[in-house]
Amino acid sequence: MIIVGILLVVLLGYSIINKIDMGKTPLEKFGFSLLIGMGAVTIAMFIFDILHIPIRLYTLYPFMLGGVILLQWRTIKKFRFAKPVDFNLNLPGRIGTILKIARQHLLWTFFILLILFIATGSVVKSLYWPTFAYDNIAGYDLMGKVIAAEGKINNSLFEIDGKPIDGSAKRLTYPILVSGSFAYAYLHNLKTSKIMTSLFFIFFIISFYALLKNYTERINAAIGTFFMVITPEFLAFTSLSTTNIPFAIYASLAMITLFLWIISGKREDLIVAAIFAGLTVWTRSEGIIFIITGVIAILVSGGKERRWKNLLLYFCIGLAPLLAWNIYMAVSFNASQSVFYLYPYWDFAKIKTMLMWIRRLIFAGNYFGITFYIVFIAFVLNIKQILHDRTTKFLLMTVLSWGLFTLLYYQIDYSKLDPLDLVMTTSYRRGLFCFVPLIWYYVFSNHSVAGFSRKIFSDFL
Amino acid sequence: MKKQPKKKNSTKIFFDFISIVIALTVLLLLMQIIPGYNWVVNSLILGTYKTIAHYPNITLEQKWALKCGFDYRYLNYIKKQTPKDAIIIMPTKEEIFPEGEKSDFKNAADCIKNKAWATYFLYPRKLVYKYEKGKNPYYAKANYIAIVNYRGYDALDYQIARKEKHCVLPLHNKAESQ
Repeated sequence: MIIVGILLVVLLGYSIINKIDMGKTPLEKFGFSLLIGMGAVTIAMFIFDILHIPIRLYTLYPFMLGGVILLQWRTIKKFRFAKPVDFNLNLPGRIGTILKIARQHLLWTFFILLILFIATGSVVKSLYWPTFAYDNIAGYDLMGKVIAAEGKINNSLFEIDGKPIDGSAKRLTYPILVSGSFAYAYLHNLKTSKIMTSLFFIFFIISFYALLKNYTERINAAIGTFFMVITPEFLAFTSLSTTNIPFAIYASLAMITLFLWIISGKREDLIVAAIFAGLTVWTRSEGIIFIITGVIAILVSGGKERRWKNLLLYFCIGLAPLLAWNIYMAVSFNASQSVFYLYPYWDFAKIKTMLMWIRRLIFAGNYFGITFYIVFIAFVLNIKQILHDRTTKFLLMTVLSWGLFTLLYYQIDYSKLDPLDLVMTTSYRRGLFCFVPLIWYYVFSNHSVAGFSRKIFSDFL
Repeated sequence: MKKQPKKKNSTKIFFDFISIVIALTVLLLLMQIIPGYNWVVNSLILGTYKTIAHYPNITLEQKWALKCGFDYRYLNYIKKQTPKDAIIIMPTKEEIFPEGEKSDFKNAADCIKNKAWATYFLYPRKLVYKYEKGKNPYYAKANYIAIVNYRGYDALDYQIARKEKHCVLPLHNKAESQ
């Protein structure tokens, strides 16, 4: 049954991306399909809850099927039984083409096999062990389990006056992309929801590779994807079901697709970027920093004519899920305690402590490998081209979003939360996952590295 | 003229081979220099396969017990001993970790003293903690009590012949109430 469920999510996501942008490559569309499809399913769960429609497979499946039919209506209309349909997918031919590429590009094959080895290891680990991380058991997975059991988001976990049960902290009130996807697994009677984490990860690898390949050489895409995947702390969390990896996935795709829109100027690309931005805040509210980055990027590079229209489009699609969720929370739950200072202030000791932790975290090879070293090297190598290289804009977007992310942690009133040191070594550290794909994307797409590999691989290999 | 493609092909194979050797060398060097990459390959990936080979046929319950320890085993016992609609009074922190005694339970966030964490394993049963008395309406409706470290027997309205260190019992004697 879960196979049918996953296929429907993929089909729905594929139909959405296909409707928005027919020009995307099949690999991009396939990579995006589950990520967008799962976003759509969890938004449907949210709407069902508001309309008091039970969240059940018998309500979700018709919605998903209906969505697919509606989005693929043109294709369905063209379909004629009387006309013989060519179902010959020419699989041997396609496999032959892949094998031909593999033979022609042995180094590419080598890195693709390494990616498969690493990703398979993570997926096997994820599927072997049940959910055991504290945040999930006392938070997202618990929420997913109860949504599936009771068919509603405002469920018995908010047992007294809408307050989340003790020990869950604020985890039960996170936007429901992750807990909703876990609920989807439990609705299919699975004993654990870990398959969802693995699916997010697999489809992200495909998306990241496809996006990098469209901008640079095939070999660069393979090496860049490999180094992104093998980042130690990032990979370790892909087999746990916390919200951090899905958050990093959506946030990085939001930034990369926005950068691609800055280059192409195509409205379809902007819509895709806005959808990913929306799904980022649908995963964790702090995703707002990526929307702010996006807004600034649009204001700076959005073209004179349609700048405001583009901004409005991005803002509406990107921010809608967060606004909707916050209104829902205010109405349904009693969990509005803010931990943020809502005014600017200056605390040098706090800044010093945060910078000390940031330095320790990013240069600790145990956590992020060479990720934060290589970006400096790539930047220095590219310094001559820095003003002319389009990827400089992408680097600036990455730095800006990282700065905003750090500012968000600076604005936290730690007397209402855990101590600063603890938050920096846990939440902030995991928040850095968002910048791992962004860094590797920059490293392998910037002018110097891309040019160098183009020269090497077209001249010699 | 005909021989040239062959020559090109052999040069390409040579460079392919060299590039893979260089890539492998760089990766092995990285594994040596950066312990994180070594950990990924040896612990995260290969370690997982070793664990699976070591425990090929264990059940989901056994896996949880391996990861969550005694706290999970106790909750799983409660799950088996109580109906799905049970409302269970859970022990206080002082009862779980009595002063001067070694406790079987974990003194961490992920342990039975955390309501959300314990609820995950016992849902749809409802859990009430003693600090919720008077605040949580379910407390008055509780029909079971979780006993740890021989503490909690005093809440029963009947006598127990043989007291276990850790168990779960109905608050009221069914025979007496009938």
